[in-house]
Amino acid sequence: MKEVVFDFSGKNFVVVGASSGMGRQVATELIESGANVLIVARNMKRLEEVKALASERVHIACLDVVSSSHEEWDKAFADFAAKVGKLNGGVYTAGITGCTPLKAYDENLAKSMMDISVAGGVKFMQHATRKKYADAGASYVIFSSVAAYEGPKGILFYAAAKGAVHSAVRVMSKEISHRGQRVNSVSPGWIQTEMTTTYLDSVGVDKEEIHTGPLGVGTPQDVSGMVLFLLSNRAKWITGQDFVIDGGYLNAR
Amino acid sequence: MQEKDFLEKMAEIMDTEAELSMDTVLKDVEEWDSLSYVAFLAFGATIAKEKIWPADVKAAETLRDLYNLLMGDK
Repeated sequence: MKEVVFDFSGKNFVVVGASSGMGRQVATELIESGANVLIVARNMKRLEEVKALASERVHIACLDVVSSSHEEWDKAFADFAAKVGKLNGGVYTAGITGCTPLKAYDENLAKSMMDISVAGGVKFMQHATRKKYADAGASYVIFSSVAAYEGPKGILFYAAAKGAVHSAVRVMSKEISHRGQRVNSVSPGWIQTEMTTTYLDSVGVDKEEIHTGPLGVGTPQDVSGMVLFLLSNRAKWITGQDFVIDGGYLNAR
Repeated sequence: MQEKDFLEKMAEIMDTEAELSMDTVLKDVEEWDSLSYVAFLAFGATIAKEKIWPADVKAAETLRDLYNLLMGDK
């Protein structure tokens, strides 16, 4: 049983990348906390699975964070606002990882990493913070990674993209502050998700070989609590920051 | 750019829900601030036929003045 619970009854949030991993966990907990949630991802079938949790409070938008147009983003937020009211915040979890070492990286993969983590996140924020779709005081969280701090060998563009998220968050926090809106990032350590499992398989690393922190490998639930806190009004004086949630990993390096 | 499209874009740039017309006086729009000014310069750089000078934007009094800058018609 959770010792800290949040009451988001009557509040409205958007979660991007909600069909799997961290996004799905955050969306699920927001729904359990009473919120109306707009879930966004590319995979309609998986979005339907999340919607099945509480169909009357879950709304779906099938968008691609890179290729979807400004008009498509606007329509998704306008439809959601017309049904339930303006946003109280949003979470951007979309991201991909992959091997991109200096000496031999795939330019297309590298560009996709920057596009999805940085450009997609900024485009999301541009629309999700607009006065016509979002309340004053709305709070946003964007996913980064401890890779931004550590800079591990072999994942150059992943680390660079996640580092860029920190810088973008600092700028955006100032540009949206006049309405009391906030934005922060979280930097998880090694979390067991579909994305990280696929990555390990792709580079042939056994799970036993992963160097984790003192508290071992994390789960999405180990990170979602901080996300919900940052979205809540208990965090209304916190903006432009990054929060490392890594089971002690960085300290132990 | 048509006037209607321009007014929609300016509502986005300033992130305002105020009713805008070509005769709207900029200083009457609460959201016309230093960030909106920079956003207008950035937008102008993408579509204006000629370079838009900061001094001209600062001197603009109405939305029509900004529109004329974009259209290269001071």
